[in-house]
Amino acid sequence: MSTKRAPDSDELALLSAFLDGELSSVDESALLHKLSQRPDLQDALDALADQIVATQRLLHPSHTGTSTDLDGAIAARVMADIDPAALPDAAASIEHLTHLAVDGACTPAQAQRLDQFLDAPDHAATAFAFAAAVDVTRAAVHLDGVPEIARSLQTLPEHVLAKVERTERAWALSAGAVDAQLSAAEENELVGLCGADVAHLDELQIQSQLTAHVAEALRAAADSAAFLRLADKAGAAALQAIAATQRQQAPAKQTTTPSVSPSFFARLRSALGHALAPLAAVTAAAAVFVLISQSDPPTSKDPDPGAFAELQRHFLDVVAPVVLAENHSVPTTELALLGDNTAEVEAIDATSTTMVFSTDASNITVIWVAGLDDEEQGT
Amino acid sequence: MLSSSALAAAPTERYVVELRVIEGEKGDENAPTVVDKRLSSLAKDLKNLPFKSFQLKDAHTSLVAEGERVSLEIPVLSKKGKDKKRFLVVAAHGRQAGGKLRFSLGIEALKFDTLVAVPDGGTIIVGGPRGEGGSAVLFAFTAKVK
Repeated sequence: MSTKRAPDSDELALLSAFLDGELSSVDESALLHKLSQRPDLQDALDALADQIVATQRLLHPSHTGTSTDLDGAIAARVMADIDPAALPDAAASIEHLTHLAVDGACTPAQAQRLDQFLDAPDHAATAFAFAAAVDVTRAAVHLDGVPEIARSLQTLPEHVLAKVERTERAWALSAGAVDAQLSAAEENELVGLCGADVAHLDELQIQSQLTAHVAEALRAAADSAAFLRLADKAGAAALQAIAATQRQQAPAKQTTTPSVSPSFFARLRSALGHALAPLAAVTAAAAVFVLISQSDPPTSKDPDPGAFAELQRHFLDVVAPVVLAENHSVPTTELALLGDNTAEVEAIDATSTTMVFSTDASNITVIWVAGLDDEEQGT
Repeated sequence: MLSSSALAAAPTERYVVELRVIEGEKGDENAPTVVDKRLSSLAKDLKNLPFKSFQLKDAHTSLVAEGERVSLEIPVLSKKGKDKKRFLVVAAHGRQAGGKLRFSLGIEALKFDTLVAVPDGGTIIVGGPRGEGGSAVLFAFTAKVK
């Protein structure tokens, strides 16, 4: 016999635990029996599962991705420039618009489309992922100590932040409404936020609890060691790639106070070298590191390859041993190498191009400094 | 080892730091890669780099306590072909919350400085070109708790 009533908070918590695989076999059997009798419980379970899947997909993008994912991302970028109003209702669209919002680069049409996405309940998870990413980034860059980044993050379009804050406020008020703990002013505030009659607070509470479970999944995922490791490595790689590109374009000496650049990720380079935002992970997933040398071997097109080769031989046979030998003894003991040497490069300060990458066999971090043979500064 | 100075009172952990100076040469692309047998444990990793031979030229082993630093002399060739004395300054900064050992590695004359965290017994490499002959110098830095 089926019964029609809205799931209460305990039942919603049970559904969340069921999806997380945390129920005992006895509890799971009981829940499954309930689900067979309660269409409303089935609907709530489906809605919760859809939101969590969407959230997880956003927080754990694969490095290679599928061709469909890549096509969607490309289409979103193109459509956002050409006709934002026609952006498809897809995660790629929202992700691209939020990227633009973080950089303060949204056109009015793009901002309007982003507002429409944020108003749609199906996209709540996407918006919350964005908010979680901003929170993680704020904590990572220690805003008090880096005013340039603080200013850039605080120029996020106000309507985006306001919407997220409104949703959070609505959660809190609806929870209080169900327990009849709201003052008259708070009830009016809740009606203003949700545009609904206070008499229908049960439905609001269900919606707020669904999104609360999504937010909980978001926070748990963002705090996981795997997520932080991925974002940290990818973020450091992105920062170094950006720094290397900029130093090649402007070979002026780097000072301890780098100038502010319009790119969000370029501004992050003045921080600790960490970037814990999934935005950086998505960007850095496409970064490719190659080992470059300022001195390429001679080719057959060189005017005098013989003279060059002679110079090389002279250097290696005569000069190098004098420079390298000194009075140090060369040890005979072999290096005891760990199987996994994964290291973290927390900061790099250099006046020349640097590249950071890891070897395949033992994950040895290699920091390549292009100017290692530069003249001593000031001489 | 040239010098050491205490930067903090009452150091706790002590670390054995090893620095191996490796010269890499480009050579013939079709030739097999030759690795000094004293670097055989690094061979697989060194083969990721676009050099055809790797020779161990120098090494230092030193003991540094948390909060202290040591200066290790390293060979660096300037573009004018003259040898220059450089010092790689290694400073120990204790452990990360996750347990990795934190060190700063710097070559002051080149205004290069990096802060890294390596696992206990882990190795990190800092490298760069040498002169204009297509060769490179690599500093393989290994740190472990004593």
